Amino acid sequence: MKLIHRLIIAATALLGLWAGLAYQVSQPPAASGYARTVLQVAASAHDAATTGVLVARQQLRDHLTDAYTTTAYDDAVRAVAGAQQKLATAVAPDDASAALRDRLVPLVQDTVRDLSDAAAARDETTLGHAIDALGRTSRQLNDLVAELQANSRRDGPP
Amino acid sequence: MLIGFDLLDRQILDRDGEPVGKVDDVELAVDGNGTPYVAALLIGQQALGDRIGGVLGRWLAGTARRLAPAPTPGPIRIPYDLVAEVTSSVNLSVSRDLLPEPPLESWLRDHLINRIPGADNAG
Amino acid sequence: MKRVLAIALGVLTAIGGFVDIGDIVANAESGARFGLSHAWVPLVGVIGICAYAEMSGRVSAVSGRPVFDLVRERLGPRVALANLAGSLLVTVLTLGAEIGGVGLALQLATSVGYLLWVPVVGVVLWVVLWRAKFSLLENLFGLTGLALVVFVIAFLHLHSDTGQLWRQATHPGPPVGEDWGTYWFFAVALFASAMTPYEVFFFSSGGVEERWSSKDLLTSRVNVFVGFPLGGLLAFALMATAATVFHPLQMSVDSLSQVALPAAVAFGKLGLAAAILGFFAATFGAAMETGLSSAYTVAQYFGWAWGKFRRPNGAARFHTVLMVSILVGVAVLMTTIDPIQLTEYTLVFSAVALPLTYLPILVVANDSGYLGRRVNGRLANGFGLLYLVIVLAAAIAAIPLMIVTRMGGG
Repeated sequence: MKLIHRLIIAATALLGLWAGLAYQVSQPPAASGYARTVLQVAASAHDAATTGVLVARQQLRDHLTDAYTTTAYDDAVRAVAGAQQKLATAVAPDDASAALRDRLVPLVQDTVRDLSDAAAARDETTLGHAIDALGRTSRQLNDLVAELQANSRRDGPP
Repeated sequence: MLIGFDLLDRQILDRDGEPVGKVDDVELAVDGNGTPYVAALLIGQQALGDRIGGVLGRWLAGTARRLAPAPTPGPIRIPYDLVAEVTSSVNLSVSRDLLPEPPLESWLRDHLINRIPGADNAG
Repeated sequence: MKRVLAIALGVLTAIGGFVDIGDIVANAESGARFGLSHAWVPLVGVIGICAYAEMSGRVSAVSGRPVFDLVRERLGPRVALANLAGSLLVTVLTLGAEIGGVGLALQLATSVGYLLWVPVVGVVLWVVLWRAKFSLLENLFGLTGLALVVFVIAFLHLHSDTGQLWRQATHPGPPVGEDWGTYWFFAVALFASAMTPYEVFFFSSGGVEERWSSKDLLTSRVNVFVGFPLGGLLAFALMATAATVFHPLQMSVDSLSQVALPAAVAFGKLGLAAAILGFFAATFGAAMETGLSSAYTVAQYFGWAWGKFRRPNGAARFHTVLMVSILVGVAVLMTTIDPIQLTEYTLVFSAVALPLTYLPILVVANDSGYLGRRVNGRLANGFGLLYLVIVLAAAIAAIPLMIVTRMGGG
């Protein structure tokens, strides 16, 4: 095979790939795709809130070093912030999706606030309150995740 | 002996077991009776690149050629007389100090490695 | 007596040196999300790495040459070059992931961001590989890596629901909320973490650096058959503790701070310190091994002088490749890619590259031209062929699973 033939084949393959990608990107967002994003964001927030509870409890027992605690809260906050951004950049395709989002957004905001409260807590009482708040948020997020998972199973795989 | 199977791409070691390079190619010659024989082993990315061929091979050979010192631009050539024995490696009967040094090695040593303190100490 | 001590030291080093960032991430993530339902995978992986490390150790000890020195003779320059390119890419990416892991461990210890540590770690790594004595380093980091034993003790101490864990381990499959795609994706990643290619590059070249001969076959085998399984146990303890602490809360794990938490839950600050020290030693040791492995593979393909036992100016090309590999590893991290994510990608690419590593070993280990009467017996070939099939399946499945499950995201 001549070099030119190989080049033509390679270029065609690349063009095909590119066209496929362009088609994919230009598609209007599907409701199932958005539902998946919401599920992922809810799961990330839940994980961060639960981590916050675990870390804060060990903090109360004096099981953690300061450097570790700082890093652990930082990691959790960064994870929620990433999820928040993902949710903000996705466009809800219909009213049902928007309603879903409006239920999730406050919970995500609560997670960030509760995590910062726990990280800033200087005494046991404040930390205790932060644990309660994080635990509440975590449970609510857990329920939401379970509900979303049930929905996605009912609607079949995307 | 099959050149392709028993000689090409084998590791070449000098008299003291120090690595010299791989048999990147061989130079064939024809004796008085018309029988071809291996005249020399060729070492270096030039010989290897030419053997691999294609874009990558040409690039490999081209870079190596540019690095090679002016008077002897070809690949390093080891006359077959210097081969003592062929086992899982090709063992030479001389020390590698007597052979020309690969240009990339000298260049990197002189321009990079020797400028860093401690280049003389073994780990 | 001295010999027994030497063997014991080798085994301890092998145990502590077995775990790297890939094992840490894959085991903890899988334990949190899937409980112990992946428990069979590390077991399968450890048996595989034992079978192949034994072969490559034997090749090094008998022929005095590392396996990858011999690959080009058998596969020819073109195929061997493609093989080199694939292996090198994976090894350098792994090096990046390990350096990131060192940075994360230092962040846990100091709360200074890992990205600030990365260049420091790169420089220290290079200086250490340039100056320090090889066996000393290997032993030092291997032994310190034993601190990870804290996760084994923590697991025993945590009052886990053993009945529940046993049920998960004996009923492989995705728990509620997960599907078979993600289950198999994590299975492939775990398998690749146990059988990471650099381990055999390093094991066989290290044997040559230490001038193994046929007399050292016993040492090599004890290292492999005792050291690797016990090392695998440390990795498995990370899965078991994550399954105990995180899985009941239905949460996943995506940072090193979370992975360390079970040790703190069980033993407080001391446990936490041991965990962080263990992470540091395991990742730094693996960074040295992957850095050296990158340089080994290139030098051995071209037939250059290589090895830590030579003066750097006697192996200028080897040391240059080493330097460039570290630079590339640091540069990859400087793109601010999350080290944990980088590790996940590395594991997928490792899985794809597995056959490139393991097929040549099987070929060379059957070559009586190199091994004489020490060629593979029936048992070794039986295991070798079986694992070649598994490795091929994992390699073929890795990329499709990655795309279908969006990196296990579901």
